[in-house]
Amino acid sequence: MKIERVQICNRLGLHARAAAKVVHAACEFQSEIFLGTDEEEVNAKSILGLLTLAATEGTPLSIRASGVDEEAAIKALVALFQNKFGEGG
Amino acid sequence: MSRSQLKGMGVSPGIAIGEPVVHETRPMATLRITVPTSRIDAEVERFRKAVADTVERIRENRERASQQMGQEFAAIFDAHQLIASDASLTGPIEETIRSEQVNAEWALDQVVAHLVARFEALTDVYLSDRKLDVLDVATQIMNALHGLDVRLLENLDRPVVLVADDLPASTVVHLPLDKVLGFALEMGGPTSHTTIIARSLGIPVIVGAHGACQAAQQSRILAFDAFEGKIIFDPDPAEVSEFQSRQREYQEQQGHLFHVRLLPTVTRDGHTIELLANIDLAAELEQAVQWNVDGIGLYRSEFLYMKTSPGLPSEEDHLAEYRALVSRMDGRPVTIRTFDLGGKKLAREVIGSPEANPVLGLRGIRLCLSKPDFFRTQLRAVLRLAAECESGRVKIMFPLISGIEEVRIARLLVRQLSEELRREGHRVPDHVPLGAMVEVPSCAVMAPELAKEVDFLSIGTNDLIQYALAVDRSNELVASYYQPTNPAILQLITRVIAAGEAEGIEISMCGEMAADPLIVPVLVGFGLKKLSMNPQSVPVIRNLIRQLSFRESVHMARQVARMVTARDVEEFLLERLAILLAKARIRV
Repeated sequence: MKIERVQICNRLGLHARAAAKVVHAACEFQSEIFLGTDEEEVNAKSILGLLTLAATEGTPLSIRASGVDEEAAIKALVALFQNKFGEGG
Repeated sequence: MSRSQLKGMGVSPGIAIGEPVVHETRPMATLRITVPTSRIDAEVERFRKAVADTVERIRENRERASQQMGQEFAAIFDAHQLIASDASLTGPIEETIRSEQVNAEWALDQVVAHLVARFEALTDVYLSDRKLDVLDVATQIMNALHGLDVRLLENLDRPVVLVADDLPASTVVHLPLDKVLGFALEMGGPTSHTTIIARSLGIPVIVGAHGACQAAQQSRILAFDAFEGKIIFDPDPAEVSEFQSRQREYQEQQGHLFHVRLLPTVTRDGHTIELLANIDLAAELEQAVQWNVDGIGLYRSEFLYMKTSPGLPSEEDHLAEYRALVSRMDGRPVTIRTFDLGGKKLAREVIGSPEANPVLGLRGIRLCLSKPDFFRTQLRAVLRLAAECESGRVKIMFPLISGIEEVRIARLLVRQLSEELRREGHRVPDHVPLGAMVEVPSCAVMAPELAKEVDFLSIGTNDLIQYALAVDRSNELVASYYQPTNPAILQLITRVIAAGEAEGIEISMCGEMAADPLIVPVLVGFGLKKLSMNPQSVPVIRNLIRQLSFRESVHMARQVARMVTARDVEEFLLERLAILLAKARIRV
């Protein structure tokens, strides 16, 4: 298992379009991947889970992956967050 | 005696008699039905089919969106597709169907309600707004389960009177409108897009008919009179014949007006007024031609977007539409207003999150400038069109200008695009008149300065009144504050006209006021020379202007300018109109 911490740095938080990108990225990997705040953790492969996560701008999140490709999975997701989901906002 | 009657507000003239068809868009109460054990598998299968259909439809929409607008726009469909097939939605629904032995609709309703409650518990406003996406998808699945009633409407095979709670314009454009005798709506207003479409096609409309859906459901025949706003359910034979004779009378009157179509629009003392058409749809263009307008004063390009929605029209789509327009107008000027999708679903998808106050939000020129790609496509098409026409014939008008900077940016963009087209080897026009719509009060205040920077101004009174008087006319509680005759509005208008005269640029009016028989005489007196209106109003206004004296109108305008309340102005104008009509025996 591998854990990495990231922060939401776009204004709208993890909105529907961003969440869709996270799901698409997560589904590329076999590992189980979870996203969590201090209070709850959700499956990164379920968009509804991601949407119900109370993650606004500045919220610290942990990405947890376990499986054969956990290293690569974490790396891809961290990059997506750092890239502000490719929307530059 | 008829079974029952209702009162509404007639917003498109005419009389309709026919079989009612009810279309309710508001969520129907979902019934809980117990499904026998032997049918449970089939019920789950029915649900899965509805989900698969929904996912497929979203995928189709996504394809079109991504081709025409790029990946960023398509991403919202990605999200919807994922929501529709998310196991944490479909799983609990299938489980509910099996464990409670209920119908799929009920299970869907329960699970979605539970999900929505979770979103509503999130305190952040952006976060709780995410429920909208879930609800949107849930509605699509529900429609798929119901077999989608919109398709039923699209396949109407006989003339009907359409009764609905609310009818979004996106639904109306897909209806076989030749089969619609009239619309009786519970919601909507005089300026809703549905009303505008119906009026343009000569289809009578009554809005604000609360309870019409329920009453129509039990009726075989419905008759309504949009002049009086009266709806009768199951009229008796005497009532039917009364409605029919009024219908004939109206048609004959229309026939009489047809004779004025080739007469010039000139006052008794020789002052000429240009009557232009506001165009929404291709069908309206035919009416404009029929009533012999002097040109197109306002081509609302939104319907082109609605037609291809959720995809966007390409440069060639724009060009083809505009070419048809100018060729049908046969040498007469055409003003194309760039897109204004304020508050619409498309805009919501473009912006990504709903706005708390869309009327004051990203619409008009702001939307155009925030989506340079869309704007570019449209402007390039208009520039290419202008190059094909006689110089100055095709004009570009920017909506919702609130300051001079916006005009400067738009002008710069036009210049850049002309350059770009030239480099690509296209012909470009030497000069395309650029104009601003005066809808925001700040724009009317700045008219003297603005007039130095544009080639023409057009006063859009519907928005100007709404913004200047801070009133939403569709809100019944404040509708009476919407006063076109408010002296403040008249002052804003005269200020714009004076600015136009000082700078020698054309001023026109394209709001509903331009077609209001009460106000037209005073507008003529203020010195307005171009009025743009829905084509149907053209014969009535032409007939009216032909009875006016310009000198008297100027005198009248001076008297009006001294009045300080809307009521005084209105009473004065009513009195003057009554005298005029009595003299001329015009019916308006």
